[in-house]
Amino acid sequence: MTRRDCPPIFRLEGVSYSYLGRYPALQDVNLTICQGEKVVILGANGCGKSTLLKILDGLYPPSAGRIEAFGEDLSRVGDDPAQSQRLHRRVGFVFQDADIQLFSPTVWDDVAFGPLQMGWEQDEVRRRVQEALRLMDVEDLADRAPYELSGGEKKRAAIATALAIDPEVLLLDEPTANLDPRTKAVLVELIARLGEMGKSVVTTTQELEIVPSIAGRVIVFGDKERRPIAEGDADTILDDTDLLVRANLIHQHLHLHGRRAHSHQHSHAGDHDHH
Amino acid sequence: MTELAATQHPAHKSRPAPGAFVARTVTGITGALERNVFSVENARLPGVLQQTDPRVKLVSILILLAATSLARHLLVVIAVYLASLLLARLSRLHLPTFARGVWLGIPLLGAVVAIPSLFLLPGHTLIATPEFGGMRLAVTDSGVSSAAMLLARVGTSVSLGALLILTTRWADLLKALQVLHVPAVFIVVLGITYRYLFLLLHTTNNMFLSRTSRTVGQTSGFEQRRWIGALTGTLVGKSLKMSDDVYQAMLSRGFAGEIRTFASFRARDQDRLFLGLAAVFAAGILLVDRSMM
Repeated sequence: MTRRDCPPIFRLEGVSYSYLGRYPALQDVNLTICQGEKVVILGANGCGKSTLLKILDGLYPPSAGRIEAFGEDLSRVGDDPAQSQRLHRRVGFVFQDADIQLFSPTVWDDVAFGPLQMGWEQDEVRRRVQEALRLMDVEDLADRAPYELSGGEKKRAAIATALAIDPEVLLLDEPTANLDPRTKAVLVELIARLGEMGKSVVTTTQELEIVPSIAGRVIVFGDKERRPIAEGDADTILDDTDLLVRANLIHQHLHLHGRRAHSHQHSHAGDHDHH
Repeated sequence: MTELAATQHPAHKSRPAPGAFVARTVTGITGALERNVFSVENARLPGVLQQTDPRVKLVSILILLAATSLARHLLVVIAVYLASLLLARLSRLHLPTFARGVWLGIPLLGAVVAIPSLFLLPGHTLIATPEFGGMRLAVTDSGVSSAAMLLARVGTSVSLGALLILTTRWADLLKALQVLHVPAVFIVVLGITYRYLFLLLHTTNNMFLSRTSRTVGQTSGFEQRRWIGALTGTLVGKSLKMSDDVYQAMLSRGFAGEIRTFASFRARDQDRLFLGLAAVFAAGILLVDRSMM
């Protein structure tokens, strides 16, 4: 199936966004994301990845351009609670900072928040909470307060809060940032499993090592352009060292060679050959 | 490491440089809040009150508080206080710590109100000062009994309140307020405030630590005040950003302006028995109180 004939979930045409009308975060983004896709948005700090996810989730209206989600124009979603709820029934968002996502006194309350806002019956809410907690393997943390959790536990609980609504699309903003390797591996496995469950998963990251496990398609954002500068499958993108250097995803003296981490033990300023 | 563990790191307990009274005050307030508000150790003990439905516990404590306020005799108030100690014991709280926590603060607060009544109420003189300018101060028997009654009432009420707070997680206590018909939106806002108060305290502590790590020698009072001003501004900015982010997190989970909550408590026979015993005890001591003249 080509991109042209896939059923689109999100379609962005010339979307730009600037904070306070002065600080550009995205510039003229054209993008289509299809049903069932596992997309990784790869980019350095400040390239607009988080802003893009918030636009996809209807939390920010574009400063210019047009965005459609499930065929509906999202430009006025902020003024239409019914449309907002309709969108969020189908799209789950996991924020980069889990402390923002976990705002209730206990993990259980946090996971139940979404299903309750959907107006579901209490038995249904209870069932969905239990299922989300089980999927993320945090059942034993249900009665804990968020400040009693470690970073990895918070992240898993945060994903459970989004999963409890059973959304068709999951937007994950740097889900493995600041986590230790073991926790990161567990999360990568969980994200891959969500993809296998048929959900569309859009993940932003700048950690190259997790990309092959979770990406069907990789879109690289330029940190100066603030728009996609390349896209392709994980192998093609990760093998393009020039592209990764240009997008500020690797440094000339600290980067991957093929799939192996490689660090030069020197720091001279001149260029040299990378055999 | 969890946030709780991080804020309880020994470095947080280190004393700031002498003169850094603001830093000491903030650290002290943070420590006290963490110990008393956020600590869940007591609430997790397998005691009687911990296993009682929070709504039943809340109503029972309110009944006992009402009885304490309505009682006219010191002995009756002391009986309620002894009952609160018994409940503390049955709830596996450390009694000396519990009693000390209650009574250490009361002389300070209670004395302000109680001391004038020692001298102002008419009655038989017990002790009197020598005449001074044609006037003298006298402590009367009714003044002493009134001050004792006041202190006993305050001490007993604080003990009952402490029992409720120490043996109930804040999350459950907030939910229990529903039984008093407190609006759901108020309870949710309180819950969110409580949650982010902790995060803000954590940030404040870290900012103090970060400043301490970069400060050599002593700083002047002016510099400290200037820094506190900057800190306050930064915290206000962070709070605003955080509230905006939390609102977005709520929207992204389907919040459409109307808060919906989950009522998950289920009262059991032992809860009904506890409520009954509290009501009978309160009614009993009030009957005794009224029969004593």
